Amino acid sequence: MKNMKIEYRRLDLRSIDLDDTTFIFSYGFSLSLLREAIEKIGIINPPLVKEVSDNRYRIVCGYKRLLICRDIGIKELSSAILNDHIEDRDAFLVNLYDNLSHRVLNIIEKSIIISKLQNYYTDPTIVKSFLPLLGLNPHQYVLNRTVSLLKLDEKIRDAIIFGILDEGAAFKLMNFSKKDRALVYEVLSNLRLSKNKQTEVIENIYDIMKRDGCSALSIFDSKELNDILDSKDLNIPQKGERVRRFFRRLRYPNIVKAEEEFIKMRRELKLGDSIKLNHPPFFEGDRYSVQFHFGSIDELKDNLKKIDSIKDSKKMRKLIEG
Amino acid sequence: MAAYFPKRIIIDNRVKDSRLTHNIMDKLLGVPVEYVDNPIMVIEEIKKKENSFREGKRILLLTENRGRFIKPCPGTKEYICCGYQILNFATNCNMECSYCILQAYINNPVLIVYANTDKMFMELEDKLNKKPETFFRIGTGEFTDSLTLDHLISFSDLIVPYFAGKKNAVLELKTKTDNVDNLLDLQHNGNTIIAWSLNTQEVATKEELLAPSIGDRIDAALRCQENGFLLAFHFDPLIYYQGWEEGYKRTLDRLFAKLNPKNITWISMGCFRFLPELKSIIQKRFPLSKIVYEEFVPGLDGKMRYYKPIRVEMYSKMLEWLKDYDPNLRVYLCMESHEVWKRVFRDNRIKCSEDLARMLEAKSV
Ligand code: SF4
Repeated sequence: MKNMKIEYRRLDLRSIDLDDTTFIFSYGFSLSLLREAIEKIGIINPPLVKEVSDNRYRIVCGYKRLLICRDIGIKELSSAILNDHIEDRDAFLVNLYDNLSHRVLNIIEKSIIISKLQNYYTDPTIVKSFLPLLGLNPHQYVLNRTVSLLKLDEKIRDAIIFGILDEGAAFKLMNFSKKDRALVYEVLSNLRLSKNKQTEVIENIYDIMKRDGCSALSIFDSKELNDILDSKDLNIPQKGERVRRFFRRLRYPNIVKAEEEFIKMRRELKLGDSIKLNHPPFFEGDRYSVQFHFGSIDELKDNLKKIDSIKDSKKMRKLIEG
Repeated sequence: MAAYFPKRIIIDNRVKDSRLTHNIMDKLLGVPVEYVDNPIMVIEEIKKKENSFREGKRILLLTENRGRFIKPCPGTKEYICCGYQILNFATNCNMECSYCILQAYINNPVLIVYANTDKMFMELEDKLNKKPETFFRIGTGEFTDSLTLDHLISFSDLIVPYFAGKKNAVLELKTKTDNVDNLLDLQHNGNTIIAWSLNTQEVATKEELLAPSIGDRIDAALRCQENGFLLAFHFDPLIYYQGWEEGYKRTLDRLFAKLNPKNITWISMGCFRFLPELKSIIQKRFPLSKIVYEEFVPGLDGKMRYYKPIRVEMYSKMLEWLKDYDPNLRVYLCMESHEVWKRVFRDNRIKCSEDLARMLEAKSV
């Protein structure tokens, strides 16, 4: 960027093409605060543009400022103009470094940046020189994964940057067809599940579809699921938990059945609140455990008696001995 | 099955004069050969390719094994292991099994033959001579298929006669191929067991791409039986799907219609299990495969396994069918817990890896 020269001139706003976003990667922004500031004190930092042909300019930096100018009817403004010898690649880098110096980029912006860098650099160069700049691990896999976010529908991309949908969960959604993805997202976005639970639900839906060779639509047609979603008695977290369990049961019918039977058996043993009987995780190991607490000798005696009764449970014996 | 021929051969200059290199050069006239000083560069170049797994299988690299040729099977203490020793003469394989653990396990996609066999024999001598009272079961089929390259490298010409002269070891060559021509005239002295990985024909067709049919594997076993070899069979991985019972029963029917159970040294069973990272690899490389969508739980060794009652059911039925053919068949489970052993065999004979090793050694000798 040795020959970068900047000239300052007043430009007619109409000479700057606001639809030309060659160098722009801003995504998911709000103009309201900036607009308020510009209305109060005007534009302090002039936007940077590059002349593309006679009296036609392309935005390099200051996209949001220019959008506001248009909205509030500013006709002419002082602008910084890059000489036309500057390569497009360098103009893009000017905007990139300018943004990196003063704000945090969201993941969709990062994916737009990478996809635009691909016009100018090879993947290995981007991986080595630019991913670390963007705070990403320098691996081809990360590059592919990040760029692929651009394939998601706008609604889902917005949900990622506004924290409605976890980024990892969004990656899982990419495996679905456009139609199924929209459907799954529609349901999930209303349930406010944690990151891990979003991923779990999406994975389970996908696995069920693959296993049964069906579409998301046919799974979502279930009366049980729709009853949960339409219920007036359940709040959102309760609905989220029920929906999660619904898909888990469909995905792992035998395991969920065993877990439910264990809970039932434990209830029948009437161990009380101070004794916890646990099965091995996923029933894989052979170690069951009992935990209890007590505050007096009498409570201790009582607990030990109850624990002793576990050995008489036929269901427990069957579980342990097969 | 059409025999494997690579599209390109890379020879590490350090092994250009080895016996295996000469064997292959005699048989692969016309295949482009490249001599290199640094085979790592070749591997790195292939790894960068979009379809590196598939591309890598087309390249045969002959190089040195700079580590140890013999290593104990990497069992875990949570599950009972047969205590087998692995002789690592090659890694990777030309076949395309959707479930192949090598896809997640080894970090290079190229088919590699370790041609510095002098070092291998020195290691073997050292191991077997140091403990003459110990009985060793040694196998080559852990990181590759033992016979898939045999028509090219004739590894069996070296290894089978070597074991024929040993008193305290048996060699197990484990394969899915019917590539047994080289073996038939070899002097084996009963010390080489030829083993096949068997499955249902449905699984073989859908999941074991490029591998011979079950019928071809059984026919190859028959040829080995006729030449006095001891045989073994591994039902590993047992795959759960709708119709698995008929499928496995049919395979057993076909097997015992041709083979004499008396010639079978052992039969192992192991339900499908996989490193968690294999799931996405299978989904990407074999989008039609459904094997990862059954009910899996994280095992105590970190691998995903079928929910325990499913495993117990599969093993128990298989055992029952096997015992119907011959109650004396030596059947064991690969990497299963004491609890599963107990439930399947309904006895408490095998409590730990040492018990299993003893059981298998008794049969081997
Ligand atoms: S034959 Fe064995 S080594 Fe070869 S692809 Fe199949 S599972 Fe992997």
